[in-house]
Amino acid sequence: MITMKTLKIFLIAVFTVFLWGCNEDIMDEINTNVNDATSADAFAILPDVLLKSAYTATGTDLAWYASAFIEHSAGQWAQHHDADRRLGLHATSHFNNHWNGMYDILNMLKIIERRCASGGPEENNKHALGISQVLQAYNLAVLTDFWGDVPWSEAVTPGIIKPKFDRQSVIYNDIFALLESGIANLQAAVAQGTNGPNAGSFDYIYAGNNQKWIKAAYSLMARYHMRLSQRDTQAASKALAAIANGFESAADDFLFAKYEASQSGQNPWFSFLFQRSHLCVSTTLFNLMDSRNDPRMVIWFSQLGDPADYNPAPPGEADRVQGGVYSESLITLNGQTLPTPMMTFHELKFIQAEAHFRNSPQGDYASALQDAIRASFVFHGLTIEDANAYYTAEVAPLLAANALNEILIQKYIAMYEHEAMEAYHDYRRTGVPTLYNPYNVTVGFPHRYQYGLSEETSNPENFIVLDIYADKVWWAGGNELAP
Amino acid sequence: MKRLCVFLALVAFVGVNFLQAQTVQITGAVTSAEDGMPIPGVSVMVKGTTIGTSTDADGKYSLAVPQTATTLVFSFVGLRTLEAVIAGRTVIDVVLTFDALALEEIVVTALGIRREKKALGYSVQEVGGDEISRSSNPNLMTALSGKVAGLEVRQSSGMPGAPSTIFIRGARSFSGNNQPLYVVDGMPIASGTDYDQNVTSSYHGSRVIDIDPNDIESVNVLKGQAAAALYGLRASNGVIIITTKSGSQAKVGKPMVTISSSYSMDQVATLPEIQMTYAQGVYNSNVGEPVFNPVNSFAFGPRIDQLADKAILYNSNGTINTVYAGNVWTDGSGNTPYQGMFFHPQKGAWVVPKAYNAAEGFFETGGTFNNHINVAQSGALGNYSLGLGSTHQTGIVTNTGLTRYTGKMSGTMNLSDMFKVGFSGNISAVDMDKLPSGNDSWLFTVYGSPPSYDLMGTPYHVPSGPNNIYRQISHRVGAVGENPIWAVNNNKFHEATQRFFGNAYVEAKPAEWVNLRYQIGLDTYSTDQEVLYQMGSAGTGQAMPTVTAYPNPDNPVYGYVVPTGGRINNFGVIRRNVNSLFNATFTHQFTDDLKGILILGNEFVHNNMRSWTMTGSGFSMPGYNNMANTTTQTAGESKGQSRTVGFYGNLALEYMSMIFLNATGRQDYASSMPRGNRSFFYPSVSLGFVFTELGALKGNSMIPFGKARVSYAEVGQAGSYYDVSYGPGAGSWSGYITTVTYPLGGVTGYRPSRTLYDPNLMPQNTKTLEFGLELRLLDNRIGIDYSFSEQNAKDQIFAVPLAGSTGYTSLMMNAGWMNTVSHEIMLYLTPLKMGDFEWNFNTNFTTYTSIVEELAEGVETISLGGYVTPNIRASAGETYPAIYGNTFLRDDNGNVLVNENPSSAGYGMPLMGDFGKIGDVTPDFYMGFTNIFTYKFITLSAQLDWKKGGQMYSGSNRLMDLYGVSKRTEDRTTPFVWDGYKADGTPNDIERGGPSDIVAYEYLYSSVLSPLDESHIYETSFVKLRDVSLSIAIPNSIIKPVGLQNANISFHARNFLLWTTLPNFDPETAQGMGNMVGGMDYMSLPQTKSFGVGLNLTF
Repeated sequence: MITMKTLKIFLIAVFTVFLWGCNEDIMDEINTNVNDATSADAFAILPDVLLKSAYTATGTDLAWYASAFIEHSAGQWAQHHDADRRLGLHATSHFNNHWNGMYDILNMLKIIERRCASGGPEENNKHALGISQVLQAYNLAVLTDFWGDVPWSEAVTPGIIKPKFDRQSVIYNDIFALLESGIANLQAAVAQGTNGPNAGSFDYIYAGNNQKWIKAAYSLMARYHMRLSQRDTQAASKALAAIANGFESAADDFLFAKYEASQSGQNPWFSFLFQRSHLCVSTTLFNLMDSRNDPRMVIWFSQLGDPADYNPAPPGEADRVQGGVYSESLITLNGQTLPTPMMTFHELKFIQAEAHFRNSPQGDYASALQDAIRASFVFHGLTIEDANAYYTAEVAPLLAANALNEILIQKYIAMYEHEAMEAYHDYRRTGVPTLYNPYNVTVGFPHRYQYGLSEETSNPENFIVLDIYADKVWWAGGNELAP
Repeated sequence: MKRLCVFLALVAFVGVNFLQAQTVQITGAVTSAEDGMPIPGVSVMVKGTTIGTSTDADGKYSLAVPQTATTLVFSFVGLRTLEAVIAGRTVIDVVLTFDALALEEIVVTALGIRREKKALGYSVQEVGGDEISRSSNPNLMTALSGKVAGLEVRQSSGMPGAPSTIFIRGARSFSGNNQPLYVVDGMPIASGTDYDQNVTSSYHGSRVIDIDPNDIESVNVLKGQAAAALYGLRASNGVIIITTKSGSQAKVGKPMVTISSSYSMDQVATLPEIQMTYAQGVYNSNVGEPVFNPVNSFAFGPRIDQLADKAILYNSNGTINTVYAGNVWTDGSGNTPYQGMFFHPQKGAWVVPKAYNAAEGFFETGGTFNNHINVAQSGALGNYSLGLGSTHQTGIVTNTGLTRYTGKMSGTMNLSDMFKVGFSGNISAVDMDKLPSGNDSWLFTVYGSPPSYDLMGTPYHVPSGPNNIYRQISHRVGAVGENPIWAVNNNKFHEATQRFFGNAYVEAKPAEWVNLRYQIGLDTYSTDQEVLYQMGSAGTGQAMPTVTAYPNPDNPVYGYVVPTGGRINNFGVIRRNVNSLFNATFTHQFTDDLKGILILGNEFVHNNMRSWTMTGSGFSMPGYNNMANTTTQTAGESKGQSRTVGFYGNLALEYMSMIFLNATGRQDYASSMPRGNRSFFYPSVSLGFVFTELGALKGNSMIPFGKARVSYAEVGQAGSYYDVSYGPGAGSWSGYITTVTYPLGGVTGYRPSRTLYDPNLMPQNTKTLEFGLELRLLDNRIGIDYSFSEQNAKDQIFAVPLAGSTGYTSLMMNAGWMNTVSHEIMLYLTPLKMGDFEWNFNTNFTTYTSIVEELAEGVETISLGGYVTPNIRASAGETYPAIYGNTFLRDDNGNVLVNENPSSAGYGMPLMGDFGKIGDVTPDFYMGFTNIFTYKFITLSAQLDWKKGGQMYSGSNRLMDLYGVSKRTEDRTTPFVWDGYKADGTPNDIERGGPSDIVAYEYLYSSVLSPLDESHIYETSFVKLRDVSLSIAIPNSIIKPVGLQNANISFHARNFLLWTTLPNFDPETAQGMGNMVGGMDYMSLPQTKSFGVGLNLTF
């Protein structure tokens, strides 16, 4: 028969053993996350922001919708058939994923910047610091060009969960400042004589080449100065100054060229058109090229029927079909591993042509335009001779008649189709070319993209309600909506 | 429990046997209706006298009865008292049935503590093993449906082994766990699904499927938090306590062998009604009428009966592309040899136009074959039970099914007066061949197959030639154009699980007032999953053939498409959970009237998990389905562990068998919480007052029993806390396409986690107040048990969504609260009891409302799952969960507004408003009615379930409208005025449709309503005949000679009658798992109806 005392001792002993099993140190060890790294250095994060800058920011939904709005393409199926009819575009859910995705990129870039800034754990990594700033400028511009006034000065900042919206004019100042510090840091990296440890393998774009990054930064600077042509009387001369330090040839192109011929590694435009067939060639683009006998049509557009012929679709009025009826983009269908262009040499040359035209005194815009067309032809696999013939026979007479219009038309054509975002921005800035979607009249042209649902629901105090069909962004002549 | 009763009755009963003159000797045997076994110790009394005896060990009795006697009364604790009219008989055999109203019922409560049911101050409901296995349903979760008040089973799909979600008294957690804890033979076991299911992939088995219902002795449902409080952090959602057969009920002596077999035929329960008039195609504005298109996913084409004239493929500019119409097509000689026919390009042949219902042919008759053998024995040393079971189920779709093998052994052994040991062990091997659902469902192309397309009669791949089985033929193109027959024959979703769970214990009784028990248990399993998309599958890289790849009348050969694509995904998980439990129980009789029981204990739980995934894309060689044959491979793994240590105490006081007070306290330490915030205390207190023990009420046969009860409890639920971490940044995605994955170019990019964690995270707390009233009326022929509970779950742990501009998606923190009020009523009636006939009628009624009182500051709504739109949400001020999506545009009076722009194609049709709430998932109530009729050896039982109210987004109905396949779309000619209003407040009078407006209906269904989520919200009320079974005990005269103790044959049917407000589909078919389940359906496999037969033999 046991006594109360022995029982007590026994119970205390048992409980002590188990109490030891739950002390804080042991519990901490048990709760350690062994699946993910607890920190990552700049070069470990860099590939993901480079990929996302090409993919999320440049190569997917933002551009596909721009391509339909600008009538490079017509929506023949599903959401893009709807988009052509201006259905659902005002919903905050529509671009929510990409809204969040853009800030995801900017957040990662800020993390890199903080790591490499003075006082950070990698304060000597000027190379990564410079790249992070150039990419911030690039992604911030994508953001504000589509969405106008957006959260920035308080965005992606630890401790702030309801960032205020900033005016686009202020954001543009930051874009130029970021490019300038990016250039300065990249130059410091050149002075250090190093690209950082094994930088090449982590740098999808330029394999650690600081000089090429500097040229890309200047080229972007030219693009963003020209974007302000309505707002800055010095836009053209500032653009020309930047161009002087920009790309020297297509070898300097700011491209993401690491796609692989597999389903999980291929170019997203290819995936999209191949798997979904939402877009086909629009009559607006086709007619501009057809009237100029543009030789790029053969390699750009598919032909159907017997005898085979082009069949572009009228924007806003395409029948709803999933492929097989209208001409589609051969650039994309043949482009499983095609690079995503974030900025090309031919775009820079078009900017130069426009800047020369707009500058006072005017510069030699014609030769810049001819260079641009040549670079575009070569970019798409044609020859300089093809370009020269085309320029002489088709472009030169039109240039003589209406120079700025033809420069912008030529740029509009050349931006097909992976650079459609630039065509969309140019149209909103210049009104070129003429668009034909009847819903632009009955509903309206989408002058900007709707903000994300997450911002509407989780930052309602600062959220700006807007009408995408009426409210132009600041550089396109609209009012700034942020307080 | 029964063994204890037998023992008590034997000891307590003193048979009195007066020998009198002029008596008649009556003999007979008493058996149990439950299992046909003889019952020893039954009291047999002559009514109105003290003359009586009791049955012997073989259930036999012999009694001298005065000739004046008219009736014998048979009674036994726990069984229903039976009166038999003598009527000159000298042999009277009777069958006693289980008495659900038995007052002395002993139930298993938290941590295996057995209590008299009348001593409980909270609600517990028991379901017998026979009730669960009655209709041979191999799935325990769905078998519980409708049988327990307060317990709601939300089913997912009709796929064999498909998981269900069980809610007890509604929900308490926004986005955390709302599922009850499962405890088998005293040990908590893993019961969830290891992989989430949202809108893609296939359902994954819930680990409750590892239990064969045939092994179950009883299920006790601890509904309230007070009942479950001793489980501390895991107690918030109630507990399902499963007691397996242990042999304790077996007859002392020789082993009892029970063999049960059943076979059911399973068929699709509901098929959508489709239009049988219109062919594949869409309106062509240049032609000015609907035109045929053999690879378009829509059935908005010409009339099928006009295909011989109209089967012409047009270019969009209105020029003719290909002529398939036999009345129009001419051969080289200018003849039209195929009058009345049209050329079917996928078949490559001229056919007579006809309408087909693809779904009718696609679903097959499946079958379920259950076999189980049980050996049980008990003796002075102890008892054991061994069960072996197998289930083979073939689904209603080719190559789907479930195979389950289970083995179970449990027993106890009395080592001495002081020591007892016992164990319980279960092994299982479960294989499932599944069908994906949601975005990956193959039913898109079954339900969506245009009526003019002969899905079942058309080859699904190019007929002959090398590798042609990888060259699909389909009625549509694109990534979702997979031919479903090709898919089920080539793609594969397989999962295989092997599992052991069990425990062993030692019990010591060093003194009369002390009982010590130590139990250690292990639950371990591994699940291996394989997803295979065969080379040539759409969506993994294969270009689905466009119309030019199919034969045409001028060139009737199949074009060549090189097979590409394919993907293999192997993934799995290993889990190991160790559970140690120590209980010390002290009993003390303070006075004659006051008794106390004190339990002190400790529980230690440690869980380990490891999971992995390997994906290979792009097969090089057709037909060789191995990772080695893929061109790119990626892999990932995840490991984790967690520990919970709890110390608890339970004090029970009992006064005069009238007042029962129970108080518990538990201190938990959880590893998954942040340092410094790991320890929590959870109290509960309950009071039961048996007011029929009061002098004035005692012994009143009108109210033999009445109890009021009240309880209060606080229990928790821990979250998971992590520091910021960096992982591979896969998922650079767009909503439309497959993501890019690392490594890319030999490099992997890393990214920070997108969720932030609050370092001050605390467990969320549920406080519950429960009242209950139990009454037995009219000699126990009526029983009522009512419970009310109010649960307040505060400091919810959830991922508070952040604005995109923060760079993060969410912050895991404590915020918000949810209030849940529930009422449940159990009603037991014995409306009729005449001689050998008895009718029992049991009803369970459940209603609850969970309201999201508050989310985090500034957060109005959070998503629980679904699409960008629609989705399922927790939303402040709304019932939980709610359905959100694109709404109808309404004016200030709530009237639906129509489009008044005459140049718009949607003129006169409803307009789309903002994203907002479009439906409530919560039903008004659930009722389950069970009728059991017993007449001699025949038992007929039927269960009817009624759900009233509740809504669902029916993605399946939406798609069938979108495709122009649903019956609703058959009328395309009658002019219509949409029931809405104009902006000026006047009713809509804009007429659309009719001969001059042919495109109106197509535009309405496929462009206007399709994205208008609110138009696809349906009420999901239903009445379902859940099961019916007829059981016939074969008479002893037949079975005794062949050595059988008992034999019965049963016929059963499940789910074969359904009335519902949801058109076309079964409302118990859903998309997604967990908290979102029930609010959305998107091409899930339909439920099945079953008819079968079962045989039970006991040796």
